[in-house]
Amino acid sequence: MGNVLSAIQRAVDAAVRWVVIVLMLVMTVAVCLQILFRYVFNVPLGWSEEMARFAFVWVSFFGASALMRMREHINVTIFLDRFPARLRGVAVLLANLVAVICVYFFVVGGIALTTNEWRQLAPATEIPMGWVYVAIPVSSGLMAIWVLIQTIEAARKLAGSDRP
Amino acid sequence: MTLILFFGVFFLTLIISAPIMFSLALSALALLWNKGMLVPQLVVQRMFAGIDSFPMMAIPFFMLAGALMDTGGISTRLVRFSNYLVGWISGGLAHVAIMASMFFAGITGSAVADTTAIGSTLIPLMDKRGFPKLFSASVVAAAGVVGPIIPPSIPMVIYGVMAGVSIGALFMGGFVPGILVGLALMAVAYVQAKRHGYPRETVRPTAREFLQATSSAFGAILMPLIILGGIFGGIFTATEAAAVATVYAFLLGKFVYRELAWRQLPQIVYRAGLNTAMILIIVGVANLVGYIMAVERIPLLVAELFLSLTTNKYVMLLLINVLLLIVGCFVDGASALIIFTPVLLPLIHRLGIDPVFFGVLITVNLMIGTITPPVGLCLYVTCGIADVRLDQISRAILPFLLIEIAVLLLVTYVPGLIMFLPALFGPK
Repeated sequence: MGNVLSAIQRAVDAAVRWVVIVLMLVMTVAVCLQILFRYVFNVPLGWSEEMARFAFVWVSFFGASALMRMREHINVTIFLDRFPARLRGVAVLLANLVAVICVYFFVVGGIALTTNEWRQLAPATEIPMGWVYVAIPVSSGLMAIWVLIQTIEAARKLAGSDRP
Repeated sequence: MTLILFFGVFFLTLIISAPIMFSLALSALALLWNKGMLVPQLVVQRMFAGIDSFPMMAIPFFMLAGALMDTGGISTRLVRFSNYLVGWISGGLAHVAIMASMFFAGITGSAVADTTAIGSTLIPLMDKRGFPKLFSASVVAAAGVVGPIIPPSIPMVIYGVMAGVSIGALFMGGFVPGILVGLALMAVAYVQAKRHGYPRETVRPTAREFLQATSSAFGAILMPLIILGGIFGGIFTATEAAAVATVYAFLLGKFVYRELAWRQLPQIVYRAGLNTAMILIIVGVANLVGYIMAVERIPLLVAELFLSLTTNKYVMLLLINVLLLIVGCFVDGASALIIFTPVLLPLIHRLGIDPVFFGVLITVNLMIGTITPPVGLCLYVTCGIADVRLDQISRAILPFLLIEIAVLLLVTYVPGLIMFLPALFGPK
């Protein structure tokens, strides 16, 4: 069971990694083509900027979910380090709960946005906006999983430190 | 009341080590809830709008270009070239570190990247030549500060988009302060080298060797010129310039220096993507914060609060500088910039201060924060490389820190130093 779970986690990590890498390349290529077409072929590209922007949004949200998993989001630990051990455990648990509340709104809001705008077409690329917005609920859903696991860990640690 | 609610939630959650994106998000959620406007779809819509920006896209490109250049072997070439230029001065390698950091600043927009690239090459070298580790670690950390001051610059891209001013003008404005910081650091290094008898390098390159070093470093020195020339020549936007820089860095590392391997690429691109997400997700949340702040007129309240202390432009700049230096001790530069830019802008406009001037100023100020303990990202980097402790380097960095603050005050009160170049090249 544990093996299956960790295999799933690894698969998710790998998928997110490749989403980020491929879309970073899409951004680079789209912007370069835009310059190329403007100067060399004298035809401004209509779709490149929008395409690159959407890739950029996906990179930011999915990158954020990977950072959540690795606990790499920027935070300030300098005050925490000076807390007494017991209080530190409480603080870490509270900090996790803050993340849980926010991620809840990201997921719910993301689902609402995606379903409401599903058929709306992007002006230049005519991609359905649902395909663009869907990055938000999916990446936030991943963030929710990671943050819940981390919250349970923090709670267990705190409960464990109660016993002498 | 709204001020207390917002900043109360923000600081409380910050202190308990919640990630800054969530500190900001929860403060915004609290204000929305208080106002009866807590609609989840609105929350993510504002975040999306904050990230969905073509100008902001310069950030991932500059991250990628810097990483490609570094892996592509530019650091050692810049060090060799800098050695020929300044290695002969007393304290040789310290000057080489500062000079190489200034050159590297021209291809990266990040202080940490600059410090890592130059530090990993030079700190071991300085160790071998008998420099005390604390001195080498301090010099390299202090020199990394110029990374985002000399263009390109990631903080300036963030500020430029948030404040709606020309990123090109900000880049131009950073040149003189960046070079001033570098020269001031070299002066301090020189005085310390004389006092403690640090070695100099015997530099006697043949004309051929010098030419070779120059031409191999030239590829890197060309990059800020391509970026700025492209922007000011009206050839491309800052984002397009950044994308061109990325391709240029790739070609240089892959086909000219031949040190970049295909198998290294996925990890470099992935890391650049993550570093982008780290900043952009905060930018997204900040857009939500900016929205509710505007509804609650918080920046105006803050402006009034400041203006009740003084209405003198020069005293105000001093107050803002002191405030930001203190903030920079605890919060990393990019986050502080994202949080404070929208809060301070109305105040800046009210006092008639040029937003380009202020953008360069706030960048210099907050980048000095990368070498102020207890939270100084560049200090962490060099502590790791040199294997020294934070409390030790906190004392050793002091002379360098003080001279950088002196330069900050100089450019604050002689605005021409910042505004000279943007005015010269700016739109007529």
